[in-house]
Amino acid sequence: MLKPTIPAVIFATALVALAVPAMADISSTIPESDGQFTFITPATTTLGDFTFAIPTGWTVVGGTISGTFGNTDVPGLTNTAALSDYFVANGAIQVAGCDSFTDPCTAGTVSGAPDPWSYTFSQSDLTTLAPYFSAGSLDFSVTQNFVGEVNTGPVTLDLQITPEPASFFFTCVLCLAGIVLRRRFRKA
Amino acid sequence: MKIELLALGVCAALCASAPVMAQVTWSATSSPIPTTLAGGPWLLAQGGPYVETAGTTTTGGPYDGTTPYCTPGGALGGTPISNTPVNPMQPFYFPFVAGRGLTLQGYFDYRPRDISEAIVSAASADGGQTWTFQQQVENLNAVCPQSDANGANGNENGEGHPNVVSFGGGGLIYFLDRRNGHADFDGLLVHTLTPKAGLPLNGLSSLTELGPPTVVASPTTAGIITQWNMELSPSGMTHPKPNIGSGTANPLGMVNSYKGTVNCSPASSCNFTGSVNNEDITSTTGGTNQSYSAEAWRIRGPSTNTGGATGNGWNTQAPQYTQGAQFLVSTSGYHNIVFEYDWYITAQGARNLQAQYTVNGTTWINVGPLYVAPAGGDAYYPQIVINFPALGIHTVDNNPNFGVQLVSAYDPTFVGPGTPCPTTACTYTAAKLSSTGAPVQLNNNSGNWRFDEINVLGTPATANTLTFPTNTVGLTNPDGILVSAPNTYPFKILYVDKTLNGDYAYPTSEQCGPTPSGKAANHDIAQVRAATSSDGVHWTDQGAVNGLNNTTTVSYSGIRYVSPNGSLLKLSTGNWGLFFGAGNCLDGDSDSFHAIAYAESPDLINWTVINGINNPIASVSTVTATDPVTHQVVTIPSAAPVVGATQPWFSGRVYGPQAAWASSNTVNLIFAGYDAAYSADISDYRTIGHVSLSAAGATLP
Repeated sequence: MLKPTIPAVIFATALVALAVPAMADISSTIPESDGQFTFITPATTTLGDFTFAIPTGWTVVGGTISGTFGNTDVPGLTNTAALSDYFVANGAIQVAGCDSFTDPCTAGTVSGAPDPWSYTFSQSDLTTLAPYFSAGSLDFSVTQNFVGEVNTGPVTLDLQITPEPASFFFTCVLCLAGIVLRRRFRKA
Repeated sequence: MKIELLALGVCAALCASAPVMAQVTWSATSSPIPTTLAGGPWLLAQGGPYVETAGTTTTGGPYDGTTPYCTPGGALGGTPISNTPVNPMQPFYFPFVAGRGLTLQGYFDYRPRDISEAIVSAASADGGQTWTFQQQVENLNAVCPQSDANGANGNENGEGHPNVVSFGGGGLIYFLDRRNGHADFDGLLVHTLTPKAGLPLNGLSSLTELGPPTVVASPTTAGIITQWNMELSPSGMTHPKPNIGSGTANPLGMVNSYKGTVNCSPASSCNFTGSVNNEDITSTTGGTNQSYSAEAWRIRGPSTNTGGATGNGWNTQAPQYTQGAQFLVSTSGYHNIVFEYDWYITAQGARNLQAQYTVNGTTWINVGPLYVAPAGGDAYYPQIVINFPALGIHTVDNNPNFGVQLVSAYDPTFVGPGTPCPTTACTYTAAKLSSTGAPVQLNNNSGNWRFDEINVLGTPATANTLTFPTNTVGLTNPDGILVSAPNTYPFKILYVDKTLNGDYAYPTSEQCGPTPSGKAANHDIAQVRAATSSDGVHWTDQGAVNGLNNTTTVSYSGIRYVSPNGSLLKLSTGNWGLFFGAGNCLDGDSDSFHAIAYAESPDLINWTVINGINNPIASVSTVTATDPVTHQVVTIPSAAPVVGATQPWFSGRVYGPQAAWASSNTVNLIFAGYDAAYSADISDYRTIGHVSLSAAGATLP
């Protein structure tokens, strides 16, 4: 009676061992913003909060944040930004920086389009961000370092999530058990 | 004798064929066209068709035209109406255009004659050929005309000549206060910009605030805390005093008793027994100050000469960071501190410079990279900038003990006697390299460093407490901003200083006479000047620029006047290119509208006109008259304008050129024009035009 199930069990076990947990993306965007022209620096401002919901039993395994220095609101003005550094998690992780007068971020690009930037979180960053993932909210702030105005295009947080290992394994075992039981009932 | 003559001839030929930095040659790639505006306020075309009788418009126009300025018609208690749907862009002038490529942002002076004046913003998606209305602000009034001429009741003297000075994503907008008694006397009106999408003039008032400005800024020195311009120091002076602000400049380490021959070869040439100070001010042209009479502060220390060499060089036995120059300047009341300087190195001067700063007067900290002299020496390294806030250094703000010293350092690249040193570099080298291009040991006989144009800059702590709008302080009789240097802080502008009726102080031979058409002579003086500011309100005048115009010329071929709202381009040659409105005694007016001219400069101060009155980019109608200087009959312009034949809509005035980058060798030129009969014909004046130009001789980065 057990004979026919042995290959199935071996096959299923191999599937469990080789299966790659499902991946999904969650994204959140902070709209573009035009700052206030200021002479007094450094000055730190929160530009907004990314909000998201990580499904129960899922974990964040990777993430990127991207945006542009400047935006397209007013050509020749808001398409650039003041010298500035951009952070998430209450200033714990710097994700972008506009640090030189000759950089396109503040000097302007050849085409006049805003200068794009992107940052990929490291494993260490993800550990730091774990409480924010649990809370479903991550702040995004800027420290302006020199005269000018901080202008940003839409800033997008993209998180890659996957089921947590324990729940993933549990799900696989349940599936396997289901297969075995079904075969038994069919034999019976 | 023949040989000498031959040699002279050869030399002259060589000199004549010496390489000259290429200048841009412009050509038109389209014909000039009047642009159009979609939406916005009432436009001239709505008042047509016009009928002119004996020089006066009798039918059509803003009072009783097809679509009058006000509804219900005329002056009968209506309100101003809008432009619908699309019409030629009149009556606008003094454009200011920002942006690159096809997507442009325009700010325009809307000025229906004898009715009102306002600032209008519009956007273009085709490089400035067509515009879409965005906002109208600072309206002088909302009156309706009493007649088509409306001369008796009209008022068009509000806020005009818009010009945006931008930096780091933000900016300020400047207007001329055109009211009688204010124009060309008061400072320019300054407003902050808080732009939003589609609302570039967000935050500005719908109606003008004319009357007393909200706040008249107090006259304080801004931008430059302290400056040493050695040309302004008497020759031979030691410990030079600043020409702006206060502070001390002292040679560092020139008096010493370091002895020995360590790391010095051959020993016979560098067996020193200490140095003495021998600083002075000496003629050194180059760097920032290109004038013939430029001078610099020379730092040198001859040997005390008990067996060593006798030159004026520095002591090779002194530890690094101990010889150079030291500047102490209090930054109390300022932040965003920037230190700038020109560094000149002789061939035998020390090759490496390290800047250091202090916040307590005793501890010195390296800042910025190790600078290497230009290969060969005897050359300037102009305007080295230490931008402290950009480096994240704010301890120098508001600090009475701030200082910078510029000191010689060992050459980490040197390989030779004494190297490798135990741990770090320990040998000075000279600016002049070996025949193979390798650094050679400093011989200590004659080399020195020189410094000039040392600026300590900062933002006054009061900058963010200014209340806008306000008036500029420090600009002399400003008629408007000509151009601002892009991405520059402190802000740097060229502006038009107009002295009304100022040339009566000139000899008669330097005053304009009546124009060939009989129009009365104008007696204003228009001078282009440079100025800097760290808050956009308080400006430090940097003096008149050279070469754009001659305020005393009465030649019909010369440029006597320059108008605001020109346009600046950075060229691949390193030069700046400038389009500007130019005028002269042919016009009977100082508004500088005879031609659109083009000039180039390496430094924004010294200009060479390439396209002038006689070979302009664009010109009003041809004039043939007897020149007051040569007494010859001349035709002006003598050569065809770059854009081709003059068209009726700019045959009376052409100015306000705005060159918007379109590609690496083309620009969209947006400008303003009047027809020739504008004084009587109110149907065709203040037109915004467009033409495409192509550059040869340089590219546009």
